[in-house]
This record gives sequence, structure tokens and C-alpha cells, in this order.
Amino acid sequence: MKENLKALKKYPIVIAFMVFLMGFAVLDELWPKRDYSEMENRELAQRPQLTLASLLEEDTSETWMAKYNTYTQDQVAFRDEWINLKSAMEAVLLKTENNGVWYGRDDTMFAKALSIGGYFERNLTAIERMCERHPGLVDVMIVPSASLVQADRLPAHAPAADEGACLDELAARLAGKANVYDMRETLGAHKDEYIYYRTDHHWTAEGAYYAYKAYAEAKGLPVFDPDSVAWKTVPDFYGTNYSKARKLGTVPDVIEYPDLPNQLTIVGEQQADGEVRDVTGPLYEESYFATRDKYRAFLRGNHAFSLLEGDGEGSVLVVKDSYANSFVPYLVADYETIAIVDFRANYQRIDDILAAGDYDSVLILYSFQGFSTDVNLASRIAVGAAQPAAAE
Amino acid sequence: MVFSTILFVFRFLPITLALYYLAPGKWKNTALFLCSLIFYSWGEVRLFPVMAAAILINYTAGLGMEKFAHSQKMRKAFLIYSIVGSLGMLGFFKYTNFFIDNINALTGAGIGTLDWIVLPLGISFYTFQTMSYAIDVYRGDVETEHNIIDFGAYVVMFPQLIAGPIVKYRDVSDRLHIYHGRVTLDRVDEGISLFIFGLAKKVLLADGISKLWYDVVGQAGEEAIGLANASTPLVWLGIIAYAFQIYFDFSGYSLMGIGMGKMLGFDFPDNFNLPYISKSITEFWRRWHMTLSGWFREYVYIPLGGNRKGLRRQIINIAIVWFLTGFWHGANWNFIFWGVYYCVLLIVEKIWLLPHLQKGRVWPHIYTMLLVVVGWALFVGNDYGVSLPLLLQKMFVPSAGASALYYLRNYGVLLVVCALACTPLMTKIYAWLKRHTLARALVLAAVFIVTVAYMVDATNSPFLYFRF
Repeated sequence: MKENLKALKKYPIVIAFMVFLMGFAVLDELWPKRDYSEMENRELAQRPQLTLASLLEEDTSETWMAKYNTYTQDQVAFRDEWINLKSAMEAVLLKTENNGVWYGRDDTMFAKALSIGGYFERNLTAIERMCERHPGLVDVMIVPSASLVQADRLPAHAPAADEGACLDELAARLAGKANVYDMRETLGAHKDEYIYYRTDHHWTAEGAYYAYKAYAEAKGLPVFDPDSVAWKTVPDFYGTNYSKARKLGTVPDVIEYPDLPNQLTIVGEQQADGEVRDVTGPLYEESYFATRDKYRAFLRGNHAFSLLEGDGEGSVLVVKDSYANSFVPYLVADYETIAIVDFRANYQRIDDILAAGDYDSVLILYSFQGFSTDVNLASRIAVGAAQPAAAE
Repeated sequence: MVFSTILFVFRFLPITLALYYLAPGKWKNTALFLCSLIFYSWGEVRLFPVMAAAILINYTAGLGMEKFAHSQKMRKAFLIYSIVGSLGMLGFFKYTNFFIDNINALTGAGIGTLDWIVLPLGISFYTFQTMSYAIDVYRGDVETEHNIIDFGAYVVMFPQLIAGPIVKYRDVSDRLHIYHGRVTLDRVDEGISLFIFGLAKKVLLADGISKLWYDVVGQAGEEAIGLANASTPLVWLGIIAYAFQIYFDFSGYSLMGIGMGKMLGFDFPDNFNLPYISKSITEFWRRWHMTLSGWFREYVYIPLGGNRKGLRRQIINIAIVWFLTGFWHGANWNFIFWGVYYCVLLIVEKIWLLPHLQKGRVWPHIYTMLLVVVGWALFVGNDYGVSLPLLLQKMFVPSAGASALYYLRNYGVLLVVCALACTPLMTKIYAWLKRHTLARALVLAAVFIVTVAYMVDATNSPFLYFRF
């Protein structure tokens, strides 16, 4: 034994490796486990329950073993530091992307858009069907991605999918059926301004305002005056693109938003105590501005059905993804009631929602990315009411 | 269990090494056997009986051949029993649905495929290993193994279980029976270096460059440009990236296997010897997946007569070996095409081209790499997002589409690193590091730390050869 130890001294690499391997294994096992990664903005896998059924599970990605593998990866000690190191190494390799995010000029980041989302065609056809049932009622605004409007900031020759061709097709197919608000020119005229967040996939309140203005003017509605209210500022916003790419030296975004007194009611949602009720409150949930997922503060997040009290006349139903959350506040100048439906959380059909309220118009407002990947929209709007009137 | 995961590197490996090192001599093989069974079962517990059957059939075949040493007939019967057992398992799990599909296509029979069949991990590798045992015992090249634990430890030994190298029983039987002093510090020392460099090859080079190819053709659930939308230069760049990926993936895995073998006190044979510097296809196959070519040479080509029965017979033998090599890689027509493609190239070189290639300096390298890359196109022709006719059309009929420029720019450094890592430069650096312990320690530490960082942030990186 003694001789062995003596011999071991001649092999410093063996000692160092074994000490590190065993030492890190022990440290890692004892390392505090987290529920959630703030930096990555996602929930982390937890230690799976060992059961006989989970051992013998047929789906190999659902076995206890597979889950345990994910668990050790998600909960590894110094996870954030490892990820930062990888991001730094990618920079050493002079890469202009990491984890599906392109690094553009002027500290911008873009979600890598190599192809058109697989639901574009289906959702477009569904809008056509809906417009045929409700002629003259529907406005459609599919907001172009930052990578299209600010293409000059993309890395050179980045192979972005041809989103423009899809927007052309959308405008052509919906012509005469719906009012299509093509925002490419409107936003393009302001492309050097701060209209999209640099580290997030959303547009800014400023970008949304230009789109809103075009919409209100086209409809002949009074245009919200941004100088009529105070604007608040929230610094240090690291958005979804940052969460994925974790680029070192990222310049954080600044959120600016108009501070409006209008009240927003989130309808019929289950509360923490288990009870389902309506909750009325401010337009923004300011406490979310203190978390990493700051964009969630707009409209207090994405909810199945909300009602916003406006200062104008008439009513509008907004069918939307999260892009609308920074657009909708301006509508208070135009309507008395603004109903907001998010089909990612709402399982009703559009015609049932329309029948339950008396809406003067409907605005379908999605980001291009959201619209072309939304798996729920088509099934809610393509065909009529779930329960046809008994008289038929 | 995949080598390039936190679970393997920081749980399985330290626990297994600790148990193995602490186990008293006689118990080392038991520790190795049990840990390897856990490793095997991690992928799918339900396929445990397949492994148990592989061990039992070949173990009893060995005993049978010994017991009936006087009867040639009985010995042959036991050999057939073992080969039918090994090949039967391989054939059933790997090829049944392929044959059903082809029978259906030919006759329109409409036989339902057996959807419940999944390929047991590493079956293509360990069935070849068990066959080498039975054949060697039959030939008298190696003694029968009496201890089922020792035999089981050989068959299921985790470093080489899933993707090779294909270790013949006689390669390790000596060390398997050294119960005291099997593990030596110089082996462990070298094993650590090989393991870390192998892991880096897999994680940094193979996974790193694979993203270029996956951006073109896609991976399940990921968006991609799509082969149809890519320009011809981008498709070529993509298939070159795939050539790097498959080499670093497979040779990295082999190197890790050899390295961990050394940590356990075994000497596995080399599997790759810088294949991309070859000056002919003949040379390429002496340098690529050497344990597989060696297996086919020893157990198929030479028994068929090799080159001893005239040129005509030799060509037939080459054809048989290459059909089998292609088919071994996967139950699909593109793998058979790939095997036949190499068969034709090897015969052309044998009959005419080889002397000319040996005289050339630069062009033989270009000729070889071009044909190897085209070979990889055939090989990948059945992958996710790939259709072989479209891939070949895109490569050979110039077409416009998504440009290669972005990818040259983004992957430029990595492409250069990959290219250098295919040359003898790496061997020279390694030889130098071997003589300078401090430098080696620093390089290993840096490479290991960076590799772990990439493992932590990896989304999905199975080994390409897992499916074979």
C-alpha cells in the first residue's frame, strides 16, 4: 500500500483527475437544487420518483433513467457558470450565434428563423374561413419579425427564411375578406429606432405605437397621444434571446411604457386559493418588472380572457399572442370595452365568444413567429360555434 | 447511458472506478460486470433479457465445445448454436422490419411491421464480439472461459459496449484473468488522457460542427433551412461538416472507450488511424473503423479464401464482405448502396488504379476525400430531413438557394480546427505532451473544463453509431 502511494506521486495527473472526478461528483450531489433558473427563464428538472412503472416505461425518453439524466444536467453544480463559459468559448471561436440566437450589429440578438413555422398555412386558411363567416368584421395584423424589419443588422448572409413572401401571400389571400394591416413599411420607416428589444423577441412599446397609429388612422379612430400620459422606465431587461444565448457583455434593454390608469379585469381564472373568480387591477403588474421575465408585466401576463376599460366608444375583441400586450394599452383611446382573448389559454371557439359579446370589430394581432407556430388558433376560429343554435 | 453526459462523467464513472479499484482482486470482474449491466440497462431495462441471452448462449457454447473436444461434429454443432444465437438476435432485432417492408414492396403482401421491435443498445457490436469468442474457441485460438462472471464482464464491459471498438475475446482474455495488479498507474495515466481527448473530440468537434449540417437538414423538432432550399455550395459544406461529425463522433467514442479500458487495466485495439489523410480508398479502409474491417477480414474474407484462390474469387470475396459491411451499418438500402459503392471503388483500385495513386502526391488525397465525402452522402441518405435523390441532385446539379457564406464565416474557425485535428499534427502534439507532464496536465485540465461546459449546455447529442 505504502509503495503504491509512493508510486502514485509519479503520476500527478492521475491524482488530479481522480480527486477532481470524485470531488466534483460529491460536491455536485450535495449542491443545493433549484426549482427555476432565473438566467435561463425556465423550470429545471427535479429528481424523479423511482417506481417500477417508470423503470419499465416503454417510451425511452420517459423512463426514470432518462429523467434522472436530465435531472443531473439541469441541477449540476455551477450550472450558470458552465453555461457562461460555453458562451465565452463560442465567442473565442468567432461564432455569430449561440443556442438558436443570431448576434446582430448594435448589440442586437435575433431568434434564428431558418424556416417558416409549420402552422402558417393552416392558421391563414383558418382566418379565411372565419372572415367568410363574419364579413367586414375582422382586422388582421401579423407583425413582421425583427429579423425582417431590421435585416440590415443581421449577421452577414444570415439565411433567414423568406417571411416577406408569406406576408405577401397573407395579404393577397385575405384581400376583400379582412382588413390586413401590413406593418412592414410602417415599421421599416422606423427601423433604426428602438422598435424591437435587442435581447428579447418582442417589440417595444414604441414599436407597437407606430403600428397602433397606422391601425387607428386607417380605421378613422382617434389616435392615442403618447404625450398625454407619463411614461415609466424599467432598466436591466434581459429578454428571451439573452436567456437562450447567454452572450457575455450583453447590453440590457430598457422597458418604457405609458402609465395608464385604466383598469384590467382578468376574467374567470383560478386563483392561488383554488377559487375561480375575476380579478380587476392595473394594466401592468409592476411586481413582474422586478423579475427576469419583465415583459410579463404588460397586461399582467397572458390570460384566457381579459377586459380592459377604455375611454372611447364601442367595443373590440383582440385575438392575440404576447405581441399585443404592448399594443393593446393604446386602444383605450378608441374603445369603451377592449376584450382580449389568448387562445393558448382559452379553449372556447371564436364564434361562441363573439356570440357572448357584441363586438364592433375584431382584431387578430400576432407576431409572425407566433402566428406561424401557434398550434391552437386554427381549431378555434376555422369552424363556427361548438354548439349550433337549437332551432337549426 | 451516453458518455458525454454529466450523469456518466460525474456519477457513473467515479462510482464505477471507485468500486472497481476498491474491490479485492477476485471481485474486480464482478464489480465490472454489475456496473456494466447497470450501464446497459440505463437505456432500457426491458431489453435486459437480450443481453442475458447473449451471454448465456455463448458461454454454454464455449463449455460445450470444450466438453466434446473429441467430437468434431459436436464442436461444430455448438459453434452453429452460438452463431445462430448471435446472428439470430442481431437479425431479428435489426433486420426483421426491413425484410417485411421489402417483401411488402415486392409482393404487395401488406404484412404488418413489428413496431414494438427496438434495437437493443450496441447489439451490432456485442454480437460480433461474442461470435469472435465462439469462433476462436472452435479454432482452438483461445481457451474456453469457465467463469460466467468473467465472461459476462467481457461481453457487457461498458467502455466498448455500445459503439466499439470491437474487442475480440482473445484481445482481453489475458488481462481479464490477471486478478492482482491488472490496473497499473501508467495505464490509468494514459487512459485519462485518451478519455479526455476522446470526450473533447465528441463534444467540442463532432457536436460543434454537427450544427452546421443540422441547420441544413434539421433534427427532429428543430427548424432548419431544408435541403430543398439550400444552395449547392451549402449542401457541399454541410456534407463536409457531416464527414467531420461522423469521424470525430465515432473516433471520439472509440478513444474514450480505449481510455476507460486502460483505466480499468485493459488494452483495447485502436479503431482509427487518421483516416482522412489516406491516399486511396484502400488505405482509407485500413485506417477507418479498423476493428470492424479486421473482424470481417478474419472471420469472413479469409475463411472464404481471401486472395489465395485467384483474382476472380478474390473479387467475389471482396463483394461479399462489402455487402455485409454496408448492411451491418443499418437495415436500409442506402447502407447497402454505400457498401457496394466502396466495393466497386476497392476493386477498381485493386485491378488498376492503386499503382497510379501511389505515385501521386496531392491528387490522390483529393481523389480519396472527394469519394469519401460522396460516400457519406450515400450513408446519410436515409437520415432525418434527407432524401438521397434530392441530396445527390443538390450536390451535382448546381442550384441556387440559401448561401454557404454565413456558414463559412460562422464555422470558419471550427472548420479549420476540425481539419487540423484530422492530420498527424495532433499525433505530434500528443507525443510532445506525453513527454511534458506539466504541459499535459494543464492542457488536459483546460480541455476537460471546457468540454464539461459544452456538456452542461448541450441540448441533444446522441452518438451517431448508437443506431448501428
